[in-house]
Order: sequence, then C-alpha cells, then structure tokens
Amino acid sequence: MIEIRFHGRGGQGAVIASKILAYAYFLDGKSSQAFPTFGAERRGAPVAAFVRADDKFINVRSPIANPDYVIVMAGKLAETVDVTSGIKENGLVIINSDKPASYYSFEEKCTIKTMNVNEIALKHKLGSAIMPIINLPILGIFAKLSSSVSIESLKKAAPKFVPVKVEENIDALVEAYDLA
Amino acid sequence: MESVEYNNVISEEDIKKFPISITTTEVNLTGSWRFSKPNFEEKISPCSVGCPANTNIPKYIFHLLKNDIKTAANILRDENPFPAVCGRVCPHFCQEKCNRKEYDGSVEIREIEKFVGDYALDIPYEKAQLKTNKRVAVIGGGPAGLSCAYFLAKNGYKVTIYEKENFLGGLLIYGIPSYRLPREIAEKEINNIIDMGNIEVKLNETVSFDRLQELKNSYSAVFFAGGLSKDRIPNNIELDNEKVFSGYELLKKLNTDKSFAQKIKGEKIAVVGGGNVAFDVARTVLRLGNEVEIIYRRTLQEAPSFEEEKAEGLDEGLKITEKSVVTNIVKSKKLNLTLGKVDKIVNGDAQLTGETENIEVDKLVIATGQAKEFEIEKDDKIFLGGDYEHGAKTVIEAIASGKTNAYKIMAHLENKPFYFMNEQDNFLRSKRDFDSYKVVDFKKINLFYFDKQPPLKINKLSAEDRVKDFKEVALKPTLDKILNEAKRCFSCGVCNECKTCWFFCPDVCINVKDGVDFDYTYCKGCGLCSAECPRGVIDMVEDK
Amino acid sequence: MQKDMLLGSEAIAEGVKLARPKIIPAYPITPQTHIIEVLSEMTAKGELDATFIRVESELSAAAAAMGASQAGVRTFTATSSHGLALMHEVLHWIVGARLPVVLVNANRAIGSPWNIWTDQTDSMTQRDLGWLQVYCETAQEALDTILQAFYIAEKIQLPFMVMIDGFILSHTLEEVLIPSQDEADEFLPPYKPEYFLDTNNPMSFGAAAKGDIFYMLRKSIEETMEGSFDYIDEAHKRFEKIFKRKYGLIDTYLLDDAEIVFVVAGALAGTTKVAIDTLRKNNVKAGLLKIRYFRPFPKKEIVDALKGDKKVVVFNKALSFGSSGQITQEIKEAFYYEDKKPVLYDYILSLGGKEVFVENIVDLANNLDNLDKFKILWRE
Repeated sequence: MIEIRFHGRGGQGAVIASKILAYAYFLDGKSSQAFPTFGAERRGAPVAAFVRADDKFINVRSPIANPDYVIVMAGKLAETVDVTSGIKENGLVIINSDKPASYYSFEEKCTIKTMNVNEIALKHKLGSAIMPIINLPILGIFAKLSSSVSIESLKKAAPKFVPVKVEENIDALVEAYDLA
Repeated sequence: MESVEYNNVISEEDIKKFPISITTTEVNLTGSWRFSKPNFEEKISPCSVGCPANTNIPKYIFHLLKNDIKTAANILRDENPFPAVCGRVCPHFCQEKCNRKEYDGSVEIREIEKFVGDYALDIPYEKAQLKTNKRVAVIGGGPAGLSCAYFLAKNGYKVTIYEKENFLGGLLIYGIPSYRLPREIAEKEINNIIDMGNIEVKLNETVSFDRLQELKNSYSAVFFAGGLSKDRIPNNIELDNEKVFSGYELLKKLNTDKSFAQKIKGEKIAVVGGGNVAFDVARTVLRLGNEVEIIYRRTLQEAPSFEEEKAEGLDEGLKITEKSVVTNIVKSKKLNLTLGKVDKIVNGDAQLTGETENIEVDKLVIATGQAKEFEIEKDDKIFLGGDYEHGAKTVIEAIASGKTNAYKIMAHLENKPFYFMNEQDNFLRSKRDFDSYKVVDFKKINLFYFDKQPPLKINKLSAEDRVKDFKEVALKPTLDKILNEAKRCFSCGVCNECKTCWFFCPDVCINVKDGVDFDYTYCKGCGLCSAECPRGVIDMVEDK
Repeated sequence: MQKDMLLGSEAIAEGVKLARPKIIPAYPITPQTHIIEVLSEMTAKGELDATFIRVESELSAAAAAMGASQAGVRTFTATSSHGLALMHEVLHWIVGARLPVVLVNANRAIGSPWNIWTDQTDSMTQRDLGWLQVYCETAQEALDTILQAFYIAEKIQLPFMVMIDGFILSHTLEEVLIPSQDEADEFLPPYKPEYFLDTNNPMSFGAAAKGDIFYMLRKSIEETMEGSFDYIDEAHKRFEKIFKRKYGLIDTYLLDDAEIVFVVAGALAGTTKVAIDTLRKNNVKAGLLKIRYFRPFPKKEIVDALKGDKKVVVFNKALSFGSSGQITQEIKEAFYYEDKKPVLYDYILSLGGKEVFVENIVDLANNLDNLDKFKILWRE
C-alpha cells in the first residue's frame, strides 16, 4: 500500500490534488482512497489531505500517520508544520519551494526534493502571483519521482476535478513531470 | 376508528395497523355540547357615526376592495347623493372618529370617497317610482334642499324645488371656489339627482314669507332650506357693490361676469372675516392676480375656517392682519381704511386698544357671516333645515339636515315613528338613541390582524402652481394607492367576508357569504370565531 | 453497472437518484450537506424527476417528509447530529403514521462543546423510535442500502434510517459500483401505497385515538418490526440476484475460530479488519462482528455469532450515561437467557471524531487481560 500525505493551505487545492491522484490510481487499475483532514474549511489555514493506493480494496479509514510520501504545497509550511511527522524511513518529501533541498532539515530520515512549482504554475497562468494553483504540476513531480502513478491517468483524471483551464493545467503537469 | 364502517378497500387488519379512519365525523353532533352560541350582528362603525349623513363607510370600502365599485358607489349614494362633492370639501368628521386614528392614523376616508364619488358621476340613479300622491315643496336648491328632495323622490314622493337663482346648487356653485370644488363635479351630481325623476324644479322663484303660507296650502309638507341669504355687515360699513362688497356678492359677481375679473386684476383687496367665505374670497382674488390682505378681529388660530383652507391660503401667500377691525373708511379713488387694534372681545363686541393703522386698498370685501332673511316657525307642515335651521355649517351637515327632514316628513305623512321606517337602514340605526345602537370601539378590534401602516399621503399642487389658475389643489392618488388605503380600513363592526371565523372554526360549521351563517347542528359554541373576528361582528350569546 | 470514484455522500445521492423519489425536503448540516447539494443539483438539472423542498429547519424537513409520504409518494431526506435531534418529534409521528420515509443520517456528535466530527450519539439516542436503523461501512454499502431501505420500508410500512460515519464515509473518495437505472428499477418497483391523502377517497389520518386503539397500533408496530426479518432477508436475496452483492443483518470477518471478537457498527469495521490482519500475523486469533442492522436488532444472528468461549470487545461510539454503550446493552440483553455467555468488554472507542488507528486496536487486544469487564472502558 502506498500512503501519501498532502500539506497545504486552505484554498490552495490540496484536497483537489488528493482526489486527482486517487482517481489516477483508480484509472491505473488500483484501489484508492482520498480524504481531507476532517473539519471546517478555512481559507489560509494549514490543511492536510490523504491518499492511499493498493492492489486490493482499502479497509483502513484512519488518517495517514506513516506516509510513504509527503507533498508540501507551500514551502513556508515546512517551517511551521511538522510535515515529516511519522514518515517512513527514506520516505520522500516534495516541497514547493524556491530554496534548495539543503535549506530544509528534518529529524526523520527522508529524501527531500524541492522545486519552484509556483514558477511553473504562473508560466501557465494558473492562479495569481499571490496564490498560484499548483496542484497539477506538483502531481507531475510526484508521478515522476514515485513512479507509482501514470502521467496518462493523471491527465485523464485532472479535468474531472479541475474543469477550468484544462489545457494549461495539463501542460503544467507535463512540464513539471519532465523537469523533475 | 371506533365504530368503523369498512369499505372493501380497507380490511380489518389494515385498521389495526394504520392510524386511518374512514367514518365521517358527521355522526358526532357537536352542536349538542353547546351552552352559548355565536351570533352574527353587524354593528355601527364609529366613522359612520362621525359622518353627519351616516354613510356606511366600511360597507362601500368592502365592495370597492371586492372590485365592485358600482355597488360601492350605490351604497355610498344610498346615504349621500353628493359623494364627489364631499370627497373634496367635507371636513371629514368620519376620520376624526376612525378607530385607526389611535393605532397608526385615521384612514383617509375622504380620498376614498372622492374616488368612488367620481366614478359614480357617470352612473345614473335608478328611475324613481311614484308611490304616493302626497307632494312636498322644497324651498331652496342648495345641498340641504337637494338632499331632502333626493330622499323624498327616491321613496316615491313628488317634490317641487323652488330656487331663487337661475341655477341649482346654491353655495356648491357660487360659494365654493373651483380650485376646491370644480363646478362640473357639483353640476353632475345635481343633474343625477334631478334625472332620477319625481322632482320638478322651479328656478328664479323667490319664496317670501307670504308665498310660503300659500305653498303650505297646496303641498302636504314644505321643507324650508332657504339658507342665510342676508349678509351680516358691521354697523359702520355700507355695501355699495362698487368698492365695498359682501363676500358672497363678490363671488357671485366673479362667477357671472367674466369681464369683472379682468377689470379688478392687479388691485389691492382687503377681506374682512375669518371663516371659510373670507378665505375662499381671498384665495380666489389672489388667483386673479390681486394683492390680498385678510383682516380678522381675532387670531388666525381662532378663525373658524377649515384648518386646511388656512394652511393652503398661507402657503399661497395670503397676508393676514390679526386682531384688527375696520374702524373708518374714507372713499376717494381708492379706499382709505383705518384699522383699530383689538384688545379683547367681550360678548361679541371688540374692545380696542386705541392703536390704529391706515391702509389703502382698491376694494373691501366683508365676509363676516350671513343671517336669516325672515323668521319662520316650524309647524306640522313646515320643516326647517340647512343653514337656515342650524346656522352656517358644512356641506355634509346641510346634506344630513335635508336627509333627516326627508325622513321626518315621510314618517309624519305616513303616521309612523321616525326610527322604524326601515329597521336595517344604516342611517336610521345610527340616528337612534346612542345607548341602543352598538358602536364598535377600538378595544373590540383584534389588532393581531392589522400591521401598522401610515395613512395615504395626499399630494397637492405646489403653492406657486396653484395660484396661477383655478386648478384643483388636491391631486388624485392612483388607484393602487386608493386601494392600499382602503385595505387599511378595520371595517369596524361590518363583515367584509375575511373568513377568519371560517378558518378557525374547529367544527367546519361556518359559511361566509353575505354575512356569516352558523350550522348549529355542529357548532359547539367554543367561541373561537367570536374571539378571532378582527372587527367585532360575532358575539357569543346565551343559548336558550 | 459502472465503476467510478465517488465521495460517500455522492454515492448516497446516486443511490437516491436510482430510487426515483418524488419529494426531497432537506436542510443542510455538516457533514451531510454534500448529499442534498448533489440531489438539489440533480433535480435542478432534471436528471432526477423530483421536487426538492428547501425548508427552513430540520423540523420542517421531517414534517414536509411526513406530508409528502402521507400524500403517497416516495420520500427521502438527509440530516445529521443536531438536525436529527431537531427532527425527533416528527420522527415519532412518521412511525406512528406508518410512512416509509428513508432518511440518511451522517453520524456526528452533538454539542456542547461544539464538534462536527463523527460519533453515533445522534442516531443511538433515536433507537427507540420505531425506525429501522442500518450502519454502513463503505460508500458502496451506503448506496446499496438506500435501495434496500426503500424496498423494505415500503413493504413493511415503517420508516428507515441509514447511517454513515460523518467525514470518514461522507468525505472520502473511493471506488463504487453504480448500478444502472434498469437494474435499480428491476429491484425497486414504483411505490404504490394503499392509503394516502386522496380527495377522491377521503379518510382521516392520525386523528385522535384513545388508549385501546393507540395500544393496538403500537403493538402492531412491534409486530411489524419482529416480522420484518423475513422481508429484510427477502430483500437481500433479491438484491444479490440482481446486483451480485451479498448483504446480511450482520457481517463477519475471520470470526469462526476467533478468540477475541470486536463488535463494530459503521466505517471503523474497515480499520478493525486491518487490525485483525495484524493480530492474526502475530498469532492472535481475532475476528470481527459488524452490526449492520441495529433496528430491528438481530439477536439470534448475534447470539449465534458470539456464543462459545470468546472474549468480545464491543466498540461503542456513543453511550447512555449512567449505564453503558448502547451496543453493549443490546448484546448483553440478547444473551440474558443463553447458557453460554461470552466475556463482554464495554469499550467506548471514539467520541466526537477522536481518531482511531490500527495500532490502537492492536494494543487493546494485547492488553485485554488487564481490562475490567465490569466497567465502561475508556481509551488512555
């Protein structure tokens, strides 16, 4: 079973990213599950979302305490929220940040990959400079680095949850996948 | 569910399972439980009592709101043949009594009356039938005389009106200026009365005291409403009808001689008096392009003219000199008036301070009241009414006087008591001894059903616009506004088929149509209908 | 049949759509809102030929549902927590009137303090109404149960309450097989009530009834409840035939040889299964009894499943203060006249959304001997 945890800010698209990813696993023929941290949504507040994928139906319903992957959608969150909490040994943390991986140090033993996803998003006119919409490009990076989900399924899943700027989103997804 | 009559759809097993019942509740004669019962009785509304002619205001408003303005008009004219006139010049005594007054402001009844009255102008009356060979003479074709003639003619009497002028209407035509009452309105209402039939009109017939005695012999009864035809002029002033006029004389001259108005244009005119006539004269000559000053011996506040007239006159630019009398007149090309300041008035006589002031005017108009031409005693054939009987009063009081006398004459000629001409007649019921008829007061209104809503605001021409000509001052509200205002009527004591009683009746035993019917087989006397009735027409009474 | 990924609440809305209700009166409340949001969209777009009534409160929703059902049409509503509590009075009336309303309750705690997360206090406190109650584990089960609920409710003329865990089911995206409309229609015939408000056939409903009649009518509700097992069984068989998915009053997992049995109602059955797998790997013979039907309470099936030398941990997500967890009470009652009773642990697993992880359950099983079976048991 693969377990992925997203950290983002309310309104940034972490929940939608988790749904797209779960759906892409589903299209790949896996069983999957996506759910948010349960609570009232408040714009800007740190939120988490979770994805599980497996070859058989997933029974467990608890939040993901020991993720294989952590996706941090805003670099700053990695400095204030314990994003690597419970991460499996040598788990991968993907951070949307203009800083190098060496800028971050965590107690847990994990691999860190940073990438300026905002830049890719803005290049494709996704969101604004203040709040770039990065859920698809960051999933491109995840797909490349984890090799657990196909880029084709992500392309197919995206329009179901992001019905606007479909082309731009898919272009950004592919560009990030290629860059990663 | 007990004693169920099953039909073939519902089995006994079903009845045990579903809380359903297919028997009728009609077997339960709830009427047998009753120890008191509701009684439907329409009462008299306070506005109806306030109105000297006792018009059934809630009833005609009810029909207006039912979109049956024709019936509304007929109900209104059953009590008063001059609704369009009164809708304009009546000081609306009805509104003073309106139960809504202490809630959120009286209903603007006069505006509604005007609306219905104007509609009625084009509806002729049903032709009057002749029911008796008794003939009645009416002396004076003013509102009192016309009203008396109307009610007599309607009830089958043959009437002859003797009018000294060459037109009917009296003050309605020459007394009230057309910016308050357009002449054609009064004329139409008068024509409608005459067209009804049973009325013969003799114009240019002055009835002297001696002539009256003659008429008395040729008619079964005579109604004298000759008005106050003599001018009451202060002793130190003499009318010359060139520079010094009486109020009515001036108004009459302006009405009949168009060139006269042109001739006096631009002159300065002083009007003496504080009643409606004084203000009517002043506002009329103001419109003709004259400078006007009213001279009154008391304060403006004490002046007996309608407050509305005073306020509108002041708006239009009338100048008022209070607490002054004309003490001396020097006639030259113009008139030189000496005005003496009044200290106080004792027993009707002005005591002066000694202070004086001189003014120069072109014309002087005296409008200090009218008096009887000669004294008549009433007897078993002569009935007196209108201003002649009760002194200078309002149009509606003259109409009421004519109407009351018509009923008195009929009762007298038929040898019946006054009040039992017609048991259900709103007017007669209202006229009964105050203790014996029931007036619905504010406490009897169920306010739950009425939201507060301020009264209709009446728009008027601006003062600048109205002094330019004789256009009617009050502007007509739209139909929507009239209907909204009509909806404010509590309909005190008069059923308007709101069906509140029907809605609340737990035994479905009320039928509302032309009043309220109770099915006493099922009415258990709970009293909900009576408690909920918004307007006090259902009372609980002992069930014997 | 089509496979897709849906949120639990969307799956329920799909199920409702397939059932073709005519009236849906509802008022939004977290975490149920998605359900009626989707249904109102479906009606607005004409995908579902029903009238969606936006009422001003849950009390009105229940009252409108009662009226609609009394008028003879298939009626659905959904609510949660305080909303269900607000409906309480009318829920009694719906039962008394024998109306087959189907209601989905997204299980959520009731304040104070403020809490929007899941436990079963809201529906457990409605257990005495006379409504059927089913607790669902997955989005698939929730969808399927909607169809079964209408079928059974209309057969026996009693209302049906379907429970999902707020957020845990309502907000999770997971795979669901969506039946086709033809399949759904084959399973669920149109609703044709025998008695309904009809001016052409006047009768009065729910008029005053004195004690004798009232007593008889209440007895009839209980008789229907007791007799409903046959109808439920028939519905499950019919469902399996058409949809190839098997349902029962209860469900079990590795139960036969289990020495420790966890009893759960709702979505935590899944997490418990994972814990059982872990325990089995460590040679602890654990098993699961999932309670689907809480009303009517399937005593016979539960006694059969738990009898023998077992230790039974009952996971409650609600409790009757001063007594015990409601599910524990019911199981104890079921065993009263049995000779061989299992050892029962009355365990309050979660309230107000307190998170439950696999290791919590594993640890509990490993420490079972230290627990006091005479007390209500609470987590550390």
